[in-house]
Amino acid sequence: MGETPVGGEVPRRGSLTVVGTGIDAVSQLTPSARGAIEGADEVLYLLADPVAALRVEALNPRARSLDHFYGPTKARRETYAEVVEAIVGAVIRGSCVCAVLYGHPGVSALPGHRAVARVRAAGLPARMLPAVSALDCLFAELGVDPTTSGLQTYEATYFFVRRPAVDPHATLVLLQVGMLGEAGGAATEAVAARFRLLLDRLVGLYGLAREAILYEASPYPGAAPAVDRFALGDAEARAPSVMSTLCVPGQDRPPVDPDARRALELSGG
Amino acid sequence: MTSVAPERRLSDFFLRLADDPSLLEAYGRDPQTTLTSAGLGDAQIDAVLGGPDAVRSAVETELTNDSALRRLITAPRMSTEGGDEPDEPDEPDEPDEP
Repeated sequence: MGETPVGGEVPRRGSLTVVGTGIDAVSQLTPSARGAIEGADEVLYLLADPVAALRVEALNPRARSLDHFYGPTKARRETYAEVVEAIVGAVIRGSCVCAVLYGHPGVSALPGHRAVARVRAAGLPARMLPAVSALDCLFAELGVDPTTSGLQTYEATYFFVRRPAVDPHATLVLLQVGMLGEAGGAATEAVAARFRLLLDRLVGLYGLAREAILYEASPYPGAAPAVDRFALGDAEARAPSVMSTLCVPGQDRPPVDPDARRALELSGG
Repeated sequence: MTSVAPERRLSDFFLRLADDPSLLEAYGRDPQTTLTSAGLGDAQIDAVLGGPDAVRSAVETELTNDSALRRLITAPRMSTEGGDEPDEPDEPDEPDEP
């Protein structure tokens, strides 16, 4: 049995649950995420569209946005630090906090991971629930199976500046191409020119004729996704929107290594 | 005095969908008929058929006209790490050639 402090109440122990709304908060919010939002003392959210915000506020009237931490020219790193501080601070003060992020809360979402790590480091419970990401929507709506020829996925700026090795057989998915090279909280007109540089890089890897797709999952039920197919060498390819994902579908699986296949057969008994 | 029924909002319809799986199922099969049955107008139906940008524009117009809800209209925030995150100290500059 634990001791009860003399002459005072037992201090409340805070906790954190980080959830995602899915891309379409109307139809993709999971039952467990919904329960976490409804049962929280405080709900802090960062969302991409007003319908998602309406839904979260309808589920818990104590929900409030963290959007005010963003600024068009304010460094994202600074914004993230403030967002994490707001979430962790509420937990430390004793609240059962639900942080709600757009899409999957652990995909392209640094503040969620950092908040969970900080709360756990403080000795308090923290968990992240899975959700539907843009990548999940892409698999379904573009008919891409990541196991057919493999999948490589990167945040677009990371891909451009760090130049990871690319498997030309695998599907390549670049997230956040609409924020290519942006360090602030909003996309600028410079993204269009940077996107051309990215396409030039991809032409060098895949050739002019390889098909690419600019894809944008719909955040609204009933509205079709935006799907723009083009050849990488197409000089008229349109610039991405802030929500766009670029996909280069996989092609021509690599040949089977006979020695590797034989090794598998021999180990089969 | 004649009372005027408030105009139905697309955003309210979406919230109804979220709490009514059978309505969501019907809407998934036939958005146009379901929207019409719910009393939404041609402009709202056209927005849904026009894609995400048209829907967002229609919803933002609705919320702009509501003083309590226009605060919900914000730019999409992409929570991306980007290429501006240093993960190792900068190498010292090479000394100039003599």
